[in-house]
Amino acid sequence: MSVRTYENRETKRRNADVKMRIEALHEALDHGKGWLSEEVVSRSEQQLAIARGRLRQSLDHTVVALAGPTGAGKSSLLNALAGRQVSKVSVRRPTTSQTMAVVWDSSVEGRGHASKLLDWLGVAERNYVTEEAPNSPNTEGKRSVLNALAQTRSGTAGGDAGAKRRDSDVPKAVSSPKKHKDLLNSGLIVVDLPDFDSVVSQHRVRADHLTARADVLVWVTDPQKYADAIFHHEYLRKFKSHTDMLVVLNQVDRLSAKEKEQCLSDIRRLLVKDGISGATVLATSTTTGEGLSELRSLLEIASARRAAQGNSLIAQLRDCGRLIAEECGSVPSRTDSDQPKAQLVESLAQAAGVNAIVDAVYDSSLRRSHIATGWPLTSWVARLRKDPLRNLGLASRWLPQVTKSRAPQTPLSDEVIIPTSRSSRAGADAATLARTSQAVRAYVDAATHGAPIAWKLEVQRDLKEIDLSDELDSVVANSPSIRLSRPRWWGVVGVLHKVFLALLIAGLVWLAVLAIASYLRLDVSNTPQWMGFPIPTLLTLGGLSAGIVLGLVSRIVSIVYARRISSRVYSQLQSGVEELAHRTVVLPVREVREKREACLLAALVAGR
Amino acid sequence: MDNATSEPEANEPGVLPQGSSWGQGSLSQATAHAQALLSDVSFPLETVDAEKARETQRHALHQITDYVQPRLQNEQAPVLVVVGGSTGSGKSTLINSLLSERVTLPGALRPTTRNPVLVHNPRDAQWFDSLRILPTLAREVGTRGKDLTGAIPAALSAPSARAGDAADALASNTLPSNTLPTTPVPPVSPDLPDAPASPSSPVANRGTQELRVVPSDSVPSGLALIDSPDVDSMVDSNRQLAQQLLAAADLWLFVTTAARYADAVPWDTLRSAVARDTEVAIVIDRVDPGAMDVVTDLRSMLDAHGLHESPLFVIEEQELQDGLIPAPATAHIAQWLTWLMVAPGERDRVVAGTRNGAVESLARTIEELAVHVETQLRAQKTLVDIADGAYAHAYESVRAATSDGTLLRGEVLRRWQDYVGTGELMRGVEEKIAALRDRVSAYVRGKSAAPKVQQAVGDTLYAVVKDACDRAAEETYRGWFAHPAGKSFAANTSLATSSGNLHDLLSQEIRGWQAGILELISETGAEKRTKARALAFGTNGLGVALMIVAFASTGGLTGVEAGIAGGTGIAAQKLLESVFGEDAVRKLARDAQADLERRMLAVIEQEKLRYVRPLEVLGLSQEQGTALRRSARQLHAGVASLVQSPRKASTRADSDELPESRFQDRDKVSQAAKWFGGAGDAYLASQDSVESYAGAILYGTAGIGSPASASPLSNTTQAANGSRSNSESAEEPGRASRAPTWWKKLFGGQRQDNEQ
Repeated sequence: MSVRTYENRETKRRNADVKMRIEALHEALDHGKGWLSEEVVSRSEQQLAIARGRLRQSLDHTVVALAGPTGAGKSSLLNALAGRQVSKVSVRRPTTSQTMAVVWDSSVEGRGHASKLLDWLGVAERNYVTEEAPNSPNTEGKRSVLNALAQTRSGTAGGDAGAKRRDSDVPKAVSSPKKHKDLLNSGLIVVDLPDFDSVVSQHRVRADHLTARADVLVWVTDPQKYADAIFHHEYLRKFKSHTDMLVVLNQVDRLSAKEKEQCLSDIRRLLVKDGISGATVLATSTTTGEGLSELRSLLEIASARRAAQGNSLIAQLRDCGRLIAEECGSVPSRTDSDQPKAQLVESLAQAAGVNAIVDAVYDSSLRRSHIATGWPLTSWVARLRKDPLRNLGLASRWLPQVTKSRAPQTPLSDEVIIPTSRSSRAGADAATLARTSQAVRAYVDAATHGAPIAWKLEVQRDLKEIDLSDELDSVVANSPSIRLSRPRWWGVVGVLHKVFLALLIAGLVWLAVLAIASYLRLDVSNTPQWMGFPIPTLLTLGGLSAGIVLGLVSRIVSIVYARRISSRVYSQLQSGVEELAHRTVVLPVREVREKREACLLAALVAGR
Repeated sequence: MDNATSEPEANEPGVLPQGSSWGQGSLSQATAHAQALLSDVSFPLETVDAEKARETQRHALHQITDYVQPRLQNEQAPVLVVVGGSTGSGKSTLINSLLSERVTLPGALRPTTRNPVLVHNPRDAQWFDSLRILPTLAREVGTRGKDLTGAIPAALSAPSARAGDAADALASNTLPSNTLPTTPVPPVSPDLPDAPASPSSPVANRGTQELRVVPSDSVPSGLALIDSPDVDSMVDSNRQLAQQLLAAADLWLFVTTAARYADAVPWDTLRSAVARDTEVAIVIDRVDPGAMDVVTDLRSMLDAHGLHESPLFVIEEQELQDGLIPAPATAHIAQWLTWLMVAPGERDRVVAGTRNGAVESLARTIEELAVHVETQLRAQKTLVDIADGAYAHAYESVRAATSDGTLLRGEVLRRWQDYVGTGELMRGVEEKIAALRDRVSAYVRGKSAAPKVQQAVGDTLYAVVKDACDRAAEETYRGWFAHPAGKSFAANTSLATSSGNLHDLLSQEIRGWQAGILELISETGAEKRTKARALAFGTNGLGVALMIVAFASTGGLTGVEAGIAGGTGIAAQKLLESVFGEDAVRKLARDAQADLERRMLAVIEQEKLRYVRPLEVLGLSQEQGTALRRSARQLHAGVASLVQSPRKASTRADSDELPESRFQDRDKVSQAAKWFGGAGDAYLASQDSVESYAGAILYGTAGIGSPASASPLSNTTQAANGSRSNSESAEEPGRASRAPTWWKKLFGGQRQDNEQ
């Protein structure tokens, strides 16, 4: 009982495993459909359909497919297993064109399930082994039972010299009830497939259909055909990940004992060459009954464990998963380096002319500041030069003079800006366009380095539609950071300049009055003095020198100020560009890469 | 070639010169011509049919060197009977049994025969001691059954090491004595392009595939048997070798078994035999007694496949005696082969039939290859078109950018404005002051703005062309990747981007263009009276103005663009015109633009070459296809004329030389005692006439069987045959009545002969 429970638990676990793999494969396909190769996708989809279909059918039944080349003796083997002639045996090739199933299940309910399962498989002809089978096994233990079974009617199974032929008077036998019952209720279904190598090509189609859906594959071959290219290249290798395979060398009665051993070891060698490790090799003969008991008990065990159903599905799903994983390329390194992104932002900023704007802001700020804080007698010259920002078409972002005392965050300037306005600087000019796409291309190249080509091309195609140059332009043109404010110290310096200018003018006027007075010989000798110097002279010289010094000092301060302003503008533009790059390039690329990773992970799960 | 001159005649069989000029000699010439053509053709592009085309080509070349040429040059060379068939069908055993001698090595392990064995009569040695036939296979001479027995254990114990062993043996001892590097140069010594074999060193490059040549008295003179590898072998090279040998045969002895006779692979091979009219005889081996259904079934399958005339020999499953099938079971095959050799006209019929069929099929193959050549050409064109389209688009976009003024926005514009000040340079006095001031300040700061403009122009141009090239590369790569033939090229991932030296090339061309413009300016400035004015602005300044004018000159600028770029362009143009005059400026702009276009086109073409050149060096040409078709027509015409003339010749020979002889060749008949361990001789002795040997199904006797037990078998067959075609059933009564006599004579006395 406990064994039963354990087996149930095992079965549940296995079915859960199958379901998980189905989910994983489905997910992998979902993520990878755009770029996975067509054959892999179609094979996986087909396999998914098969797995889902099989899961919906009875898992208490184990479908064993007897597959093999024409004339290997599949039908004779089935007859021997069934204990009576269920399948037509003939010397003509190819023989079996209709598939035929033998079901070991005594319960009515079980047979109903089996019937549905066979419907799904597309096997029309069914035979139910009943207890009243005419040739029931005898009591002498399994081996002799099967020997007897094997001898039943096998004389017609083409392929024996007349001398070895036995009569069909098989000893009547009674089974040991328990064993017999076990097999009867085992839920074993053996299907005899058409050949896959004859001139009748429909047989091959049928055989392919069923080998893809069977739970246990029994490859039946014979001493003549065991090394056929088609058998190894197109069949065995296709199923190399199956664990529950059996390779049966039938008709060994044609070989001497030594030859048999040689053949068997040669088959094992070929199987290793095919990459198959999990197959059991068995020598049988329906004529002498050799090996049939082993075959039968192997099948019995397989059906009793109820493991083959899951295992074959797992093997096939695993194959698909591995194929997909192979096409996904290696696991991408998680060192998501910032290097390509930094380069992208840098290149985009350059394409957008951020440096030029920053230069212009610097120049503009310096000019403005020069006008405001330079020595009034010379600073007017600066007005003659055009504002560099105006050259870029960004002059409207210059705060009007009336707002000089307001905070930089004043909304007024925003009202001036037409948000969609395009700076005259760029437009969709060819150079920006070219540089932008260069930057994006370089980024995609770096981000997809080492990935499969098909996927790379897919990513490139996805990103091709993005036209960054427009957005880039609007990011730069509408950046609020380019608004320049009038700092307070400009006003102070301006006032000081006016005071110094006034002093200078007062001094000059005073001196002029004194000069005129002395010209007119008026007595101006008692000019007020301060520390021995005449005050008008002091006023003139003081006003002049203070103005010049203040001009020079404020020039230095202006430079520092302009630098600060421009670096602020730079960082703000840069972050704007970065935000744009992130949104339009980095994120989509990451998204598709994550999709690939998800595909790969799912495929790895399915192919584990 | 002289074939080319005779080509018009080939097109019109009606005006063919009679007999002599269109005999085998000229057909041989036509074949040599076809061979030369075929070796020149290649299928380098991985189109869907390329693999098949290469296979076909290889096959056709083999057929020419292995069979068609030798046969056309020596009609009297021995008939080559290739014993081929499925793996494990008992080919080697059959040959050994026929000859009562172990010349080849049978075994239970598959695949058995690795190296083919050729058995011939010692009298025919002169035909086989050269590389006349099968020149691609190395020769190993004289290994007989006795020597062979020593090799068996090694072969069984270490099948995988055998190839290496054989090569070693070949290199150490066997090579100097037994192989034939020093034999006289064979009559035909064609160089095969795909098999790197040359007559001077026949062994060097052959790998381990070799042909063992064994003389044996048991083989009728004028006949040679080859034991071929399996047609469905697991080993690819064996499979190919089998096909090659079958293609070299005058007659196939195709061996199958009761278990295998419906396998698809051998039937594919048989179909190819039908397609090229090769003479085929079928042997069905290992037939269980009582499984005679198999035989009738196979017979009807053969008939359905158009092999009505092929005899079918039945050998029953039986105990081997000393590794050989008992002689009676194979006697009918021996008899048939003997009969073929001695019956008047039979041998020639077989040889001529297979030869004509082979040449016909060669002609068809060549036509097929011509189609493949065209497929290759189409694929090449598609690939080139993809590259052409992508790069034409690239050039178009570069040209558009450099002429419609879009290049003038952005950095160039900014630098230009920096340079000229307000951008409204010519509008008033104020601007002149500004310009003056700019230039003064530029002078004071020690740097001129003009090189900056030039730099900006260069950078922009670079970016635009580079981007266009990258885009084109990507587009081409994408297109090629999606195309089956392009996919193999796409494995070279460097094709996904523009080339590594694009940077250098492009920078060089841009610098060249700018240097050219400055030169143009200084030339134009020097030869005019305008020199002073030109000097006032400086060559650099005028140069950048010209660059800008060149960019904007043909552009139909509209709206805002005209306001910006056009303004720039107009400003520059006015500046230039003020110096050089209107006409000169127009000419300058034209020259500058033409030079730019020329240089950019050169760069783009250079980039395109990376894709186009590998395709061009493939050497595909329309000529090849045409030449192949012409050659195929020649061959067709040659065969057509052969079919008429030799028939006359052979009837004449029969009637003139041996008017009343039963057998074609007295000399041969006297030899026949040794043939097939005497089986053939016994047959001949029994026969009054060898007019016909028409049997659709022929049974040997089982080892256990006596003539009495065998006759029921033949009776069932008669019944089965009764429903077959009229011509055959007409012959049935004669054979049926005669059968007891020769069965008895042959198989009754046979065994005693052997035992003596």
